Parts: sequence; structure tokens; C-alpha cells
Amino acid sequence: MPDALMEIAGLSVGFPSPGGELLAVQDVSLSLRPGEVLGMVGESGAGKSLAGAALAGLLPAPARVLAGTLSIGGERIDMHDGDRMSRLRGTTVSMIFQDPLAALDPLMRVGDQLLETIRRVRRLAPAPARTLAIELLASTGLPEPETQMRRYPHQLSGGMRQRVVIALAMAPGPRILVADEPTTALDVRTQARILALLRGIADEQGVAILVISHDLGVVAAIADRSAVLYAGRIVETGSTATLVHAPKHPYTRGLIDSLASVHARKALLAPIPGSPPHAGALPGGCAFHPRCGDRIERCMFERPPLLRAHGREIACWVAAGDPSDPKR
Amino acid sequence: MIAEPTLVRIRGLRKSFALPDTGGPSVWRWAARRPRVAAVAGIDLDILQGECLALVGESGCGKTTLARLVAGLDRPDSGAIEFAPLPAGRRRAPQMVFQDPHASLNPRWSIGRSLAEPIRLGGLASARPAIEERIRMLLEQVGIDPGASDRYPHQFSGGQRQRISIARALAAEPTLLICDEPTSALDVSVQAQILALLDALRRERRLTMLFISHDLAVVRQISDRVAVMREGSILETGETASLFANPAQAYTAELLAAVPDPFAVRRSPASGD
Repeated sequence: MPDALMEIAGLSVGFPSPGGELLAVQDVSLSLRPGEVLGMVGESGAGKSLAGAALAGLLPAPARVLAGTLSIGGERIDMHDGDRMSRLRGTTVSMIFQDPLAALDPLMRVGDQLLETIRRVRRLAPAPARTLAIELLASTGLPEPETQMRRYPHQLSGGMRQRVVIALAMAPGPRILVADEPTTALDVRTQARILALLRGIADEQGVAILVISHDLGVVAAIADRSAVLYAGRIVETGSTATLVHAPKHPYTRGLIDSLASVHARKALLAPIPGSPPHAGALPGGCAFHPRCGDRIERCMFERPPLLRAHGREIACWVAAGDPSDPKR
Repeated sequence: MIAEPTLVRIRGLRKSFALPDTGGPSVWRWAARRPRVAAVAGIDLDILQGECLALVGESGCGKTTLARLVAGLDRPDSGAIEFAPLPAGRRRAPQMVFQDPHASLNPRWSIGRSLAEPIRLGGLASARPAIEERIRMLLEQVGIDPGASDRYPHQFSGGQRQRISIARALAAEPTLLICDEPTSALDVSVQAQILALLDALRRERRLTMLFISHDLAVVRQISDRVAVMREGSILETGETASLFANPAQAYTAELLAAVPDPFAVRRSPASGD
């Protein structure tokens, strides 16, 4: 993709297990442009958190990268290369998680944690480092940043902690931010503010953001484009608006149809029957076929590739190959 | 005396908790002198027969405390919770379904045993065959294989465990079912299944439901009326559709505006489609 900041090609992540390797992420390819927000949507077990962690070089053992190359700023990196991936993290790629308490040292004042990071990556003297720390906190919308510097994490509200975590993530001046469920633990009003903050970081600083969430509302709030993951693979990508208003893949359609809306009661909240499969028990052919109302025989035996159709990418024999659709 | 159609009348309900001991000066370790927080600060509320009333609000607003008080799991400091008298035999204690499907079923009991207990305790059946027949019917109604009563909770998925929890709550044949964030810990596709199940069961059994949730979209889908809570008090109550369309309180409007609504995303012409 032209002027892409970053491209991941063919990422696969697995876990060793007694019966062989369990594939949690399979052949995921993504690209990000500066200032773009890409959403990655999926339910639990879809592999989205592992894909994000792999990008940040933070895969928890025993998960490991089985394949994948990362092209970033003209450089190609083998994602197996733990050392190079680690060097990217905390400099070019930053990651934030759902639970800010997990990212913050409970025994350190917030300001000291920020200063520690700044001095590690920026090599500034104490006074300019402190000024930068206060600026970073202020840029996240944290009120009274000088006072907050002296506080401990437990003294801050959930939203304030997440702002501190964002400040920490932004301290090295990263070009890419991976945000894994960044607002799931927050109240709805705080969630809206943190999402606006992230969108602002993308718009104003040209940072590319990968936002991972099971919540389509969160992704729709800030992501320009989105990828839907199911059982470790991307099943549909496209602009977020198109995915929400005109989903083509049966799973995406099922997700949209099963969502309640605050604006109106749906006459039929059509749930998808069954539940998502585990990595150790993936169905043959298309992993979604047991739950799919549109399946044909081919779906049970042959896995559909991700193909360009209807102005987006879809992995579905039935949806991608609709000959009657003039937009194909 | 409560007149129809009210099932539960709550007046002047208060409940406060002592703040936890954070190791401060020793004088605060005397419970009576510890600062208290009013979780429920004077609530008046009516729950109408056959309705689904939702309680919404941000964390710490007191909705779970209020639910637990109505369920009889905690005792109020003051105020009254009155239940309407119903035809003999129908009035049974409110039952509750909790948020975490992994923590609400005794892991060492088969699900059959977990369902048998409320049946026996509620005096609904005592002979083994009658109990087992009720268990089979309950499991079928919630969409669980009726032959699975010998299995243990860990053998089921989160969504299935939530169905079993619902079956357990219904086993005692309550008139009031209290659901505290019953779908929040579930995957999106499973949430819809559970909501559809709760809705169907409510209509079939003419249950009254008190539904606690932070998720306004879910509340819009399932409830008839809604009460908005903040800091231990109810700010406003009304029919869900009209309250959401025209909230009287600025706080309610803020909550609604903040909901990340996927359907609100607009098509952007520059998207490249």
C-alpha cells in the first residue's frame, strides 16, 4: 500500500500444546498509514489481543510468532526476531492495555514513572525532563498535571490512570500506538473522553493507532477502517462505516444484527447461534461454517481466502462471489 | 397496602458502608468512627408487576447495592421494601442472576444439584422424580441439553453457565427476577442470545424483572422503564423509549451522548469504497 507507515504481512502466532501447535492467529496482514486509526474487532479467542501484542513485541510466553514480517519506515523486520521487536517497543511502537493499574507501578509516584521513561528514551536532563512530563500529562487532558505528578496510581480515578498510561506510551514519541481494549474498564462518559483523546493523538500528531476491541461501538467511534477477526483470521476488512451499515461477511452481519442500539428497540435481536471456537478445536474449511446460515458445501471443506470484493476484503465463498452484485 | 399494579414499593431506602481500613491513625479502626459512604441515599421506587425496570448509572452510583437490598442479600439501614400480597402460593423470594458466570455456580456441585436446591428449599417438590422432572424442564427452557444435569460448571461455556444461572433463579419460581449486569461478561454474539432468552422467559412466565446495567443499548432493548442513578439517588424514572428520546436531566443526556454507538458512524466519502 502506498505511503503506508507500517505493514504486517502474514502474521501467525501459536502456542505449543501436547497435541501440536495451536494456531491462535493465522496469516494476518494489516497496514497502517500515519494518522490513521485501524480497528481490530473480534470476540474472545479471536486472536486480536495476541496480534496486537505481537506487533508490540509483547507476546506472553508460551505464545510465539510462527511467521510474519513487519515493514516499518522502509525497514523489513522478521517478527520472530525478539530483540529487534523489543527495540521497536518503547520507541517506535507503544502499547496500552485495558487495565491501567497493570501498567503502573503501585509503589511509584506517577511523575516518577513518567520521568523514568522519558529519561530512558530521550536522554534529557532533570529539568527539561520534568517539563516534558508535565506537558505530556497536560496533553492527555489531565487536570492540574503538576499536582498529579506527585500522586500514586491508587489515588487517581480510572480515567485519570488511563490518561497517565497514554502519557507514558506517548513519551518516546512513537509512530504507532497499539491500544488493546483501552476503554473497557471505564465508565461511559470517561470512555468517550479517552476515545476522543486517542483520535486527537492520531489527527494532531500523525500517530497511527491500532485499536483492538470486542466493542464495535468503540471501534466505530474512532477507527477509519476496521478488520474483523474470527478464529485467528481476518474475515472482513473495510471502512468502519461500510462494515457497520453494509456488512457482507455472514459473521460481521451476525455481529451487527445482534447489537442492541440505544436509539431503538430492535424487533428481533438476532443472535448468532453457538459460540466461537477454541484454537484447539477449529472446524474444517471455513471456521465460521457451523454457525453460518449461508453456508454451502464448499464452506465445510475448503477455507475461503481473503479476496477483494464489494470494495473491501472478504473471506467467504458465498459473500465474495456474489455474481449478481454490480459493485463486485 | 400496595395497590395493583405495583409489585414492590421502596420508600426512603438508605444503606451506607464504612470506608475500608486503610491503615490510618488507630482511632479510625473503630468501625463506628470510620467515615461512611452512602451507597443508597434515600431511594423511593416502585416496581410494577410484569415490567422490566432497568437501573442504570456509572460505577459507584449504588445500583448494585440497591439490587442486593431488594434481593434481600443485604439489609438496609433504614427505609422499607414492601412486596404486594399475591394469590396464595405465588409470592416467593426474589431471585438474582449475577454478572460473572464463572463465579456464580458452585464448582463442586453438578448443575443438577445446583438446580435441585432452590426447588427443594422453595417447597416446590420433594420427591426425587418430581425434582428431576423440574430440572429437565428448566434446562430445556434455557436451551441447555436436559440430559446434562450431571455435568459440572467448568464443562460449560460462559454463555451456557449464564443460562444455567438463569435456570437456577427460575427454579424457585420467583415473581421478581433481579439481573445484575447479566450479559456484561459475555461475548457480543452470546449477549444477544441471553437477552433474547430473558425476554422470552419474562413474557412466558409473566415475571417482573429488575435489570441493572451500565449498557444503555442493552437497557433500551430489554426494559420498559428505566431509573437513572447517581451517587446513591435516583435522578429520573420513566418509560425507556421516551426517557432516552427526551431526558429531563442533563446527566442522563450526557450518558446517552457518550454511548459509543456503532450505528452512528457516518459513511465518509473519502473512505475509498
